[in-house]
Amino acid sequence: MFRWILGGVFVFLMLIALTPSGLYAQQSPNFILDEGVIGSSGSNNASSDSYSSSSSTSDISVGNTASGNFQIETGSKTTRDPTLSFKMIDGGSSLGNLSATTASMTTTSFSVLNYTSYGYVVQIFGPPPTNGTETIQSSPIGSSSTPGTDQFGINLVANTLPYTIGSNPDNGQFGFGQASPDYSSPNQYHYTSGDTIALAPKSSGETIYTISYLVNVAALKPGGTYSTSQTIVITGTY
Amino acid sequence: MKKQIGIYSRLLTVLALVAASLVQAISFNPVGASQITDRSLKLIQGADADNGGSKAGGLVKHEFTFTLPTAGSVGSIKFEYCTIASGTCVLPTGLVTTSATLGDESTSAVQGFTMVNTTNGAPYLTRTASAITANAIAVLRLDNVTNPTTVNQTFFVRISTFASIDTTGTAIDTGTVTASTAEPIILSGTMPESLVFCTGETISKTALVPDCATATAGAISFNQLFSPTDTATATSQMAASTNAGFGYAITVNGPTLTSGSNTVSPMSSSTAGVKGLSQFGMNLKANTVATSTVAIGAEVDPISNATNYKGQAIIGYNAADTFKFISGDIIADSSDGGAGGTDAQIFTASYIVNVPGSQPAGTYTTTLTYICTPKF
Repeated sequence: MFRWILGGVFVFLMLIALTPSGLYAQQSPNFILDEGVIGSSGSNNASSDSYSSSSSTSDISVGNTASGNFQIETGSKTTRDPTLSFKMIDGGSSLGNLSATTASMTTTSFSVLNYTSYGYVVQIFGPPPTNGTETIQSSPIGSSSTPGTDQFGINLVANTLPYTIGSNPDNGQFGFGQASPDYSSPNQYHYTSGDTIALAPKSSGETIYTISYLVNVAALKPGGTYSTSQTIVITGTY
Repeated sequence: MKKQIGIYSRLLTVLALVAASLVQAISFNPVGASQITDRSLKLIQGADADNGGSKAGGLVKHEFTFTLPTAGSVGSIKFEYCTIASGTCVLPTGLVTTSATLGDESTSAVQGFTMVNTTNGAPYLTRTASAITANAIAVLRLDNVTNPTTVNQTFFVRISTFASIDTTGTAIDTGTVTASTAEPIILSGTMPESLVFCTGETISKTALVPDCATATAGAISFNQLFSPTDTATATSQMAASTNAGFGYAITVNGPTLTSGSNTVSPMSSSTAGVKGLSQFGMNLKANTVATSTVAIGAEVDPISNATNYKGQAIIGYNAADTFKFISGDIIADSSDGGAGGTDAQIFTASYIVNVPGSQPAGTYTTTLTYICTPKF
């Protein structure tokens, strides 16, 4: 008899074990506790429409571990939701007076954070600087500065020629962003609208990118203000 | 009996611990739908030229690419735009999908849809429900979507598939993608308008480039006394360059040769010099001995090539051994190959004077002013 009772208790416990626990726990019409865990980390993203909290207790490790097919985000903030953050740090930039004898350069910066993804690509769109029907010609891949010729190009790394300007991508602690190959050679400037200028091969913390712009003009370049509006597009895969 | 109860109690405790461990080890996804994988949202420029698709408030295209893990019947796919990835959906400010249309779906393994855009922020695609295979890759583009109007605004799109044709019922597969509008980069630089123009008796080159710094004084005397039997000649030079988009034009301005009330008649049309007539004229060409005992003048230097050297003499002043002088005339411009900017070139102006036997004696002079006007 007791064996039968014991067997019944075992089956009951197994049923409990095989019941989706999330259906009953950590959720109400107004609140949800997502990925609550017991251990060294706290509960992440306890939120309602008006409030959100994240908590942490004694993370053993933080960061990203990845192979070709898998990756693990370690630490308290392990929301399963995708996150994409883009910020233009300095979106307006003047090249000053253009000259046929010296190069004109300037920089702009932006940051990208793309979490819980399989990486992202950053594309740039927009024409080279124009003045009416006049256009400063884009320079091909691998071009160095040549004053006196039409050149419009960019790169995303630190340069020393023709000036010391620009920076390599700043990945902070958890960023994995990098300049794409055509835009990662110091002192070489290139531009094609629609090109991928930067990428991250996996989920990445914040990366700050600095675009260095180079403009050279021919002596006969018609006078006037040459300008362009360019747009950054980031596409993440989740 | 007590001993037996104690054994069963301990056994029960062990079973309870085993079951509790299984609760943690064999957990279930609390959501019934399967996770859409390999999903992305690509912003593509639309009617707004060169905005790249991420322009805040831009009329753009949203291309969704994703893999549907579940085999079965699919009748509709919903795209719900929100400011947050999960929880109560809040429509991003300025986002408009009520004009959205279905764009290209030709490369999609799941197609045959039509657009239902009646609810702003939650358009869906519908079709007669039909089966898809597991891991079918969908590539569906929504056109004429107005992006959120806030710059650098992250927004999320929750994708859900349904067996029903109107997104009712339980979602089969779900997944969220995110994208961001972007503040445009405004880049500008100024190319100063330039014109370098000079005149003088002579102008030389420095390193093969005409150099206005070498221009000599502009007081010019004819090569001989005026005579009814021979032609007096003189030359001057001028150099010009500009980056004006429509090039330059050079005019000559001033009276004819004058001595008190006596003058030498200006040549009102382009003609050859005739000894014994009253003639004052000029051109910008290399003349021959047909005009004077010693040939005078020179072609524009460097020779025009219709690219970076565009200077040329104008009709009336562009034929060797014929001369003309009308104050205010355009004598040269930079239109060889089309009006435009040109590198520096040297023009040589040749002057001739013929006089009749009755020409009153005296010193005849004039002051000519050349004006070079660029058009930017």
